[in-house]
Amino acid sequence: MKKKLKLIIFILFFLFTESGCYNRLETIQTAVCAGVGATLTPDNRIEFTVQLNKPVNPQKTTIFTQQVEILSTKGNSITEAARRVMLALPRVPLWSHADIFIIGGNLARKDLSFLMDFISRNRNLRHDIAVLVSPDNTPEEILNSTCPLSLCSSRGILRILNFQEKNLGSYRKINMYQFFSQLDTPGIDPAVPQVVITKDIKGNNILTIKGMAVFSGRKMVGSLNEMESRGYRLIKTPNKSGGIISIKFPFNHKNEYIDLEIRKLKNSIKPLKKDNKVIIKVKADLYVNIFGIQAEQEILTPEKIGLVEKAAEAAIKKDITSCIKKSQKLNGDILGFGQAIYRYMPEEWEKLEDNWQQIYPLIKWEVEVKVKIKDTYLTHKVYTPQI
Amino acid sequence: MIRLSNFQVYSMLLIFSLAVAFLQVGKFAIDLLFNNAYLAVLATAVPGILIIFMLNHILKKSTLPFPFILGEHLGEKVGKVIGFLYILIFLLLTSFSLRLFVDFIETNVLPQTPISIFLGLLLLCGYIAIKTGLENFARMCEIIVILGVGFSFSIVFLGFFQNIDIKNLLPFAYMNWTSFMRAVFMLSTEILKLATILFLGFFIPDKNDALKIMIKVLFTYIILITAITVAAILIFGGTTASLFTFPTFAVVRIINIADFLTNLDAIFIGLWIIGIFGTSTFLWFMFCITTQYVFNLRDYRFIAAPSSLIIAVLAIKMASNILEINILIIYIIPFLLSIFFFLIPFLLFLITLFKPYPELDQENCKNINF
Amino acid sequence: MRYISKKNSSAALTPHDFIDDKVSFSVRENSEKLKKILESCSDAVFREFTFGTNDEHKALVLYFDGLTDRKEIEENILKPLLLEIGMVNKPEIKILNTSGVFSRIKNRILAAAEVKTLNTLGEIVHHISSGDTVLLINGCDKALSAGTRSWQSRAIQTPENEVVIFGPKEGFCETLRFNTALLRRRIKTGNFKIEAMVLGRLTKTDVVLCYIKGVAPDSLVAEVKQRLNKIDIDGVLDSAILEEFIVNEKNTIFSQVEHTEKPDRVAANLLEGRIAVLVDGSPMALILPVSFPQFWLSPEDYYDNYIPASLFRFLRFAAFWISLLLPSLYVAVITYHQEMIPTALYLTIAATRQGVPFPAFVEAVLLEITFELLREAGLRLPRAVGPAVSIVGALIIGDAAVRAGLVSTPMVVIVAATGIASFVTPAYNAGIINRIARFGFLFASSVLGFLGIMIGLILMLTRMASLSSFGLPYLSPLAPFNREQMTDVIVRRPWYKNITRPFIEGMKNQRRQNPPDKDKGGSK
Repeated sequence: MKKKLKLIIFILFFLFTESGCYNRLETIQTAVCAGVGATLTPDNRIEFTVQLNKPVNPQKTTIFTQQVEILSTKGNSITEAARRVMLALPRVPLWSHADIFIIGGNLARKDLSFLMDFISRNRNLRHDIAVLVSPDNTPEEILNSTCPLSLCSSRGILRILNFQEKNLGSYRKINMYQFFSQLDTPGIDPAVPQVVITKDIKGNNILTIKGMAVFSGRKMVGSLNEMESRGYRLIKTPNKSGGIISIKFPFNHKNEYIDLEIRKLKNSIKPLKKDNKVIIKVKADLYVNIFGIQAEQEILTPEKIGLVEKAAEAAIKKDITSCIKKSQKLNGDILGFGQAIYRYMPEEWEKLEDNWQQIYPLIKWEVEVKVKIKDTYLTHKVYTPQI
Repeated sequence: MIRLSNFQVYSMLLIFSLAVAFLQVGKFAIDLLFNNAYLAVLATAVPGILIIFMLNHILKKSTLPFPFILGEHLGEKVGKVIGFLYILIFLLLTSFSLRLFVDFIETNVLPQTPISIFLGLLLLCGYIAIKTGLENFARMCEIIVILGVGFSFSIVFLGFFQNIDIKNLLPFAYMNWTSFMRAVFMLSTEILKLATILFLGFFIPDKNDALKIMIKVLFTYIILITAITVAAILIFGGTTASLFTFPTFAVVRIINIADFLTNLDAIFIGLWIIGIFGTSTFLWFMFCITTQYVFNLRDYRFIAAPSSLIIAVLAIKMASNILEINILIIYIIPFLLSIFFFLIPFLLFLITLFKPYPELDQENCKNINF
Repeated sequence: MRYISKKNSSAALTPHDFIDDKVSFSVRENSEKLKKILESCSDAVFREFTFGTNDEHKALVLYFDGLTDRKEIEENILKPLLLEIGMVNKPEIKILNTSGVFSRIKNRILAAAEVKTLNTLGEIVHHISSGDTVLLINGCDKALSAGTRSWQSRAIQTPENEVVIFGPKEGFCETLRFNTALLRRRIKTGNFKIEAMVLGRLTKTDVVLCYIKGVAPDSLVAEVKQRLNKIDIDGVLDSAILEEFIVNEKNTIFSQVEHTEKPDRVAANLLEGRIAVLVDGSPMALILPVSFPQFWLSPEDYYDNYIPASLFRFLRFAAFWISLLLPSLYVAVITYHQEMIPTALYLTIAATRQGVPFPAFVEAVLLEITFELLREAGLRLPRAVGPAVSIVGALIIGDAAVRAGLVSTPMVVIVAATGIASFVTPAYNAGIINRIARFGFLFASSVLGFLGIMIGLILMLTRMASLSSFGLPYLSPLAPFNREQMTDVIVRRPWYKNITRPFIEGMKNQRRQNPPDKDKGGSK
């Protein structure tokens, strides 16, 4: 028994020591990644950019300037470019902490397939990071710009993406796994928010979201503007609430607006068969609350509220319609019409799948929007100051 | 004579059939059927129940536990020859399950550590478990099941709370029926591992409970595999899910609790290693016990130490890369399983079909020393 | 004692020449022999006197000073013999001859409550050492021992190591009789047995085995008795000495016996069919058999309302895992699985670790060892020095080390949290298991990360599953799994649902209370 025990301890000791801590990394040997980006240089090489966080000293008061380092490398392939970071960085980057992936416009407009293979195969880069497209700038320029009140622009822009959907409702965040799922699933193409640089009052470069990039097949074909993006979000978002709609005052033709906040949202895309032809029916049901009224007459009466609802329906319909029209024009099935046909009419899809690219721009669709006003918050009448 | 409780037998069967399956079985189905993979998993209940009734029938008509059962029904000499084949199969399966695990760890968690270390550690754990005996191993299995099943369900549960699209499951039942049958076959081969009841069933207080236990195992198995398959489809969609080497693991990787606890894969792997430990140790047990029977040895424990070397070498040498492992997973192992865990039991079933029910001979069992 | 080398002498001392002699008829002879035996025993008192109407009876009273109540000797032994014997026996002086005198004195004269007849000198010595007074009468070949035990002893106090808020606060003391009395007071049935035996060649320590007949399995009682009887040692000074002799598996850190100072805890365990062993001179009772999950239970749980008690139990369960695994998890996470830490937290940790020269593992081991040192020092130091140690510990280790950049703040927090969690465990034995195993896990995690921790857990689990305490599997309600008992481990089951006792092999009567009458719709 004693002998055996000694033997076991011996074996254990050697197993543990011989394993030699192959994967061990002390914290001081690591660098935390905040965001990564890739684009194509004019000479067709991959430029890879990484933004690294500086450790935050908890005992010092925070100064809101960028606490980051940015490294940019070039290589023939994305892997090579990424690994070349090791030539300039004395630490091992922790890719798993990255929050955003920025695809440069040049790369997005050319071909994404080899980038996506790298990402789906790579175990270090997490699949739940947000994807952004930078249409005009290189990722390096984007990552070099700042976000107000943020130590790091990558994390700042991620938070902007998250909060704007709840409060403004113009764009929809897309995660990496959703992105490559939509990229490789037939019958749907991804749409990705675009990040651009603007100037703030002091003239600093700050980041903002503007429009969404539309992909078709494996490359980017164009962009949605903000209104079209809102329409896209209204039909595609899985979030059941959030966002506002401003509609023109329906009772006169002055420049007056009513602001509605979306409390509940139900959307669906379903194919129908009419006269032996497939028609896509896009539906959105909304419960909204009145957030603000810019008017001089009382509209909060049962009769008039119905008209407001009608006006809201028309406004939303316009957003959605413009989005669908744009996507058809660009031939990027970002709304997943093809997928909808596959889901509800798989036999039809069999016939359409092979030349969906040609069919999509011509396919007929209907939009149906229903709006119900539910609440008026703290006041129940229109506020009219005396003249 | 060892005594096992019903729950212990349930745990051992469940670990044995589920631990490897949880990671890779959903993948077969998704590969073949995309968004309808879960239907194949559900459909496995039918062959599963048939297998269970067959096993139960053999169990009822026999008086001796597994390796001896061969001698009882096929005659002493034939029994020994087939027993010898079983030794090889158990050896192969032990190595295979270890290799699968080690490859998984290599690709996902600790890529730089040599695989011999993992093999050594797992074999050491298994060796110690075998030394302490089957009864103690059964106790460990209980704890492993309580922990592991709880954790697996919470993974699935958390998976359902990620950004899922319920419409990913559509179109319902629109699939290639040949693929469907193939998927059902593949999934059933994992259920065939229930055949080890022919060994364990003799140690529970009442042999008639075996049927109930097997059905419970089957349903836990189906519920869990269905749930994880559905979770993978809901999150990624059928096409993308089929891209991953381990869809279950892909689900774990994107689980995110309140934007704070993320990337929980290390915990998952940590718990999964216990499951693999259970599977491989149990197979190793079976190997030792069958060897004891075939060569008329007095004890089985001393076989553990020398055989660990064979298992380690076999595990390293069995395949040179992941593609070969995939061939093993998809073609060779199901084939072997269906021969040794289905055809031979089926043969026993045919033989016992017309035999009268034996007198319950407790004395006979007591003479066998495990 | 332990320095006597084995080769030269047998375990027993050479017995005194007279020790096995029978009591002789002559007091003088007895007295001389006893004096030889008790040579150089300055606390032995020999009081020779004569009694009877004509002083015809010589007698000797023998006791150890300090172990007896002198007043009781005077009142109950000497006084009746010296004064009242004449009065009592006046009419029948003649009957008081040497043959009748012994039974007469035993039955009528001695006023002591407990009187025993002794035959050999050895017995006499044993009795006086236990605090009895022995009376030798000329012409009788027997001696009388009167129970006059009384010595200075620690009063019954609240046990310092097992502090409770609710429930009884009495604790055992060093005197066996008081301890059995504390138990007897709680269990007033004839079925409550206190079987006595004497262990220790030299110390002749009284050891009692307490159990409730009909509840405790007979086979278990017999087994424990047999194991206790096998013990052959010169001295039994504490119950813990017995523990090592009677447990099944000796080479393990897992304690297979529960120690307690609280009579209510012992009584509760007796009611569950367990056995308690009490040793004279030790305030600690041994309870057996125990299983590991029992160490998480505090007796206090059963006096508190069951809902908060269950929550506290959950807290304790968490504390157990924290004290076992927290440092190793931390090391594993920051050296192997950095992706698991939320980014903001990782950045803070990285900033605090920036200037630290040690790897995380070394840092953790250093701090853990320092903590254990401080803890051990705090236990052993005189009261007056205690605060000084804690100040030094807190200031030097906590603050100065961090400021000097030798250790990082998160590590200090981790070690402190571990320390606090380790104090939560109600059973000291279980705490020791954690303290030792923690270092093993720390080592494993520094080498293989989570995988190492898991391998460590598997090995620990294998070891624990293979243990059994007197036939009770060590992981008992958990493995072999028993749903009914498990409910009383995970949560504290309300008393009215506590219908059965936890099962111990061989138990016949498992019912604790009759289930509530369903016809009456329960007693709400």
